[in-house]
Amino acid sequence: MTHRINDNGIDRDMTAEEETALDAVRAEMETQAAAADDLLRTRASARAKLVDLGLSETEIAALVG
Amino acid sequence: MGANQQTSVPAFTAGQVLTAQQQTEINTGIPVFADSTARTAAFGGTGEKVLAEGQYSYLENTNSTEVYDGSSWVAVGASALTFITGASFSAVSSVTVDSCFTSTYQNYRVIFLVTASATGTGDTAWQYRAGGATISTSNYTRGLIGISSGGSFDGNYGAGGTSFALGSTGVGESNYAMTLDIYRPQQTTLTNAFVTNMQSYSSTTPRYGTLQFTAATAFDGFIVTRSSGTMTGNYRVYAYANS
Repeated sequence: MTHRINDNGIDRDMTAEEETALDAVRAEMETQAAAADDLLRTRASARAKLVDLGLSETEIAALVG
Repeated sequence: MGANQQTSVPAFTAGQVLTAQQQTEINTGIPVFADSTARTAAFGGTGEKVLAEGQYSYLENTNSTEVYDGSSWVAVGASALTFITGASFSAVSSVTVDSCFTSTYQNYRVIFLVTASATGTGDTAWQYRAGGATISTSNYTRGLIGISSGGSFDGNYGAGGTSFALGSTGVGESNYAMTLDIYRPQQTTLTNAFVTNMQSYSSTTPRYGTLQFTAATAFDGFIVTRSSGTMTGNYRVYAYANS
């Protein structure tokens, strides 16, 4: 499937070079999104462990946000 | 030549009989000239007014109204923001805007909206462009603060990326709004920007923060890319007045 691009005000099909660039950006963004998800999972895990230790919400927020 | 254009701003003497052309020129109110050269030639000659403070003019070639302040012609009603360019887009994966940053202005504002019918769920990536080419070097560093739907803060930091990731949009998204204030993009220096965006897909709704391109580079445009699916909306680019 050919991707579409708005090129300075004109909607048109992408060139092969533009599609290659699109793929590269999307791969980079997937990597960034995965890293962000990992961070969220780590934070959630840490919060759960702190709850098990009996810390209050205020104390947990001070430690992990 | 417009019907109101004139090449002279006449001065009259007591008892002088005016021609129809002279009456027409008077009726115009603000004198209309082809360009600034014609305007300069229209004052100070034999039978013409001497240019003085408070004189207005309209130039056909620039469609501008100006007033003489005693030493130079200045724009009337000049705005703090000057519209540079804008367009709408429909069901596209990327939007490029070239030649919008020039040395005429120092700082710029970009407003980018996804207004209807986004497909897929994805993030929005921003990259600068120069000479029609996208800059994909690892110099995109961002530090953003988000506020989740539960009211808590969510930090988002990334250094050395090949783009700025600026918030998610989901299927049917019609409320994504992004504003960037970009400082000196056309100068060969580190380019800083302040971004705010709103989204309705992710649990993190508003985001704001700083963006820096960490290599001294001059840019003249940008590209916004959706990480999956397509987007429909519009953008506007404005320049801040230098003075």
